[in-house]
Amino acid sequence: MPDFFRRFVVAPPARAGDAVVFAARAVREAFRPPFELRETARQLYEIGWLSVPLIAAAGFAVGIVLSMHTRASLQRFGAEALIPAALTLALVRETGPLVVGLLVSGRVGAGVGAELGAMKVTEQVDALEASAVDSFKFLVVTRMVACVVAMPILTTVMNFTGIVGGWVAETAISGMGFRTYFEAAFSIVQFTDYLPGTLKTTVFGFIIAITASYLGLRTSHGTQGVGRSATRSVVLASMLMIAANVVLVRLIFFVFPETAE
Amino acid sequence: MGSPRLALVGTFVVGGLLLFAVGLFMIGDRRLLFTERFEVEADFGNVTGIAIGTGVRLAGFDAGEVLAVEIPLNPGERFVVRMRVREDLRPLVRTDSVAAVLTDGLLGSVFIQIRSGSADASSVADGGRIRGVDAVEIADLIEEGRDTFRTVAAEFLGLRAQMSATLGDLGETITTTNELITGVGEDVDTITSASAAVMDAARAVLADTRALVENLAEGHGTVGRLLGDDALYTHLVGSVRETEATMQAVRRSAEQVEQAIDRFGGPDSETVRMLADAGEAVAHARDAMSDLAENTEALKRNWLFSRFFGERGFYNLDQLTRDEYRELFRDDRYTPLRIWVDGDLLFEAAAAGEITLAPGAVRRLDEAMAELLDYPRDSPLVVEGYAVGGNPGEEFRQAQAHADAVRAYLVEAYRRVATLTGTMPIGSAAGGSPSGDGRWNGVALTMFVATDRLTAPAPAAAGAP
Repeated sequence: MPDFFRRFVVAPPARAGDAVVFAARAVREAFRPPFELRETARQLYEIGWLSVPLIAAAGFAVGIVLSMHTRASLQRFGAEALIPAALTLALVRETGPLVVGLLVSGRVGAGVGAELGAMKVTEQVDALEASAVDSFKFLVVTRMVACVVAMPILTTVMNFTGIVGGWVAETAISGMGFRTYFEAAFSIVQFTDYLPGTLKTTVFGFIIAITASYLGLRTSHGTQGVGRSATRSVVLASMLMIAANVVLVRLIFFVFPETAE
Repeated sequence: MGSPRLALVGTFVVGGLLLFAVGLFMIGDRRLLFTERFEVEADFGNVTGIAIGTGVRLAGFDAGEVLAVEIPLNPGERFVVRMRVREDLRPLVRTDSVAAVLTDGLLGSVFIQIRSGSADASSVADGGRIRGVDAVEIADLIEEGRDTFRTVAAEFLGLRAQMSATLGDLGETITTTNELITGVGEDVDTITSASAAVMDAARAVLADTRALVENLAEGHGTVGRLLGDDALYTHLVGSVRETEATMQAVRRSAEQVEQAIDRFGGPDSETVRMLADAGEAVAHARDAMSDLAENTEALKRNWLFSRFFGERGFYNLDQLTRDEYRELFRDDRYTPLRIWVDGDLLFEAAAAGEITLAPGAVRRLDEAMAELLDYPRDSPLVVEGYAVGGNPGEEFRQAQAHADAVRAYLVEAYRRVATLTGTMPIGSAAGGSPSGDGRWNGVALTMFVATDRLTAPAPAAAGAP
């Protein structure tokens, strides 16, 4: 009974508190030199650049699918002209950020969790510390900054490839020109749709990077623990990101009431 | 980390930011952030669907967006919507422009439509206010549509009832039209045959009249000497011209009747109009015939021509005594042909002492007329009435009744011209009758055929009754 109590009642809040402290330390360290720019650039390459093909392909496919679904719905009411605007609004507001968050969570979360977990169990982290390198700043802050910077960019890539995918699907049916489609796409999009939707992915990036780094650096039980950390990173990062999205949407509605209409 | 990777990272970051900026530019361009603009206000009682960023159009052209919606402080006051409009469209926004809240289709977004003002009004100032027209609620539209539908349904039901009534009237009209067409056809037949006979007679009268007038003008005869009186001469010439004009009218009317008949033959949709034309033509023909009859009657009653008409057969039998009638049989220019018809089976007594034709009379009269049908139809026909029994007065009255009954049948059944079919009550004395005793009860049909129109062998002329 005491073991059950310690494991399921005391341990979770303690781990959550530890994670919060971990996250707060990461934020604080992000603004303190040295900034480890070279490692941050390397992480941007790994997390951002190498994710572009995945995001672009997914965005293109999502654009096509959204266009087809939107057409099927709007065609009943003779409102096909609204397809570009409706698709763009859906992409910019919610679909793009969420899909990017889930994809990055899967690809980057698993990678960071496994990489840091392996470094932890093979005592490479201790070796960094022995070399007078701030392992937390070198391993966690750089990944966090890279994720925060990469996520809005990847979301933008997702939005535009999604619009292109929607145009491809639309022009295959109606023959609409790209310029016409592109101008119609932004006809009803407001700054309050575009900016909050894109910038909230920085929070997604922060959650993904911190969750994966925390679970990776807390890895135990050897290589088996590495795999478990990778899996937990993806699952927990995705769940936290979705939960955070609910809060963020509510927050955006509060700050920008017109977006709720 | 090598330079190529750094370059790719740089490309990723810069490219991503540029792409993001493109999105911002597109939205900013739609929001007129990079265009000169001015602000204008409009007040609305209902701002359903209007929010910050709601599109503003001017005559259908994208002109700007809503900047703010100011809430009124008290009930009854109106909302004030502040809009941002492109500066280059300001000349079209006048102080009398009107802003209306419209919906882009049934599902489309709400937008504000500004109607261009009049040329006389001045351009609206920056921050100026124009009049607003409230939005039309879909619920109101549906309610209005429901009312409209009810109205249309009621109108439709009324229309259907009217259509039913109209169809019924149309059926009656068609029936009436058929009857009218049938009647017109009969009238046309009557008028055509009558007018042909009358015109032939009138043509002969004119020719003779013209010859007579020429003789008189040359001073022949006693009357010729009277022609020093210009009034008489003028009167005569006028009568002749009037008769000629009447004949022309009759001819024109006959032509109209023929044209109308031809047009009746075709399956033309203008049947109704043609029917009216035919009716008008028939009316003209009747008028012309009436004119001709009156003019001819006037000539007949003229003292100078009465004898002449008597010679031509246009007798006014009322003016003739029985002896004078018998004198006509001595005129060798006419050959009288007589058919005796026994009255024993010809008449039957009707109510009030009148006499009508018996059922078998038609066959007997038709047999009698069959012998006269070979001669010109314009020959004068006199139905001589005979009666036996009673005093001379009763015989005369009975003879007149016999003659009238037979004449009525002949005019009706053989389309005889009334003015060429007369009656002469003789009484009981009937010289040359088949009875052999000089008496006859019945009628005799006596036709005066112009001798020069008889073909050989000439029939035997009847003697005076």
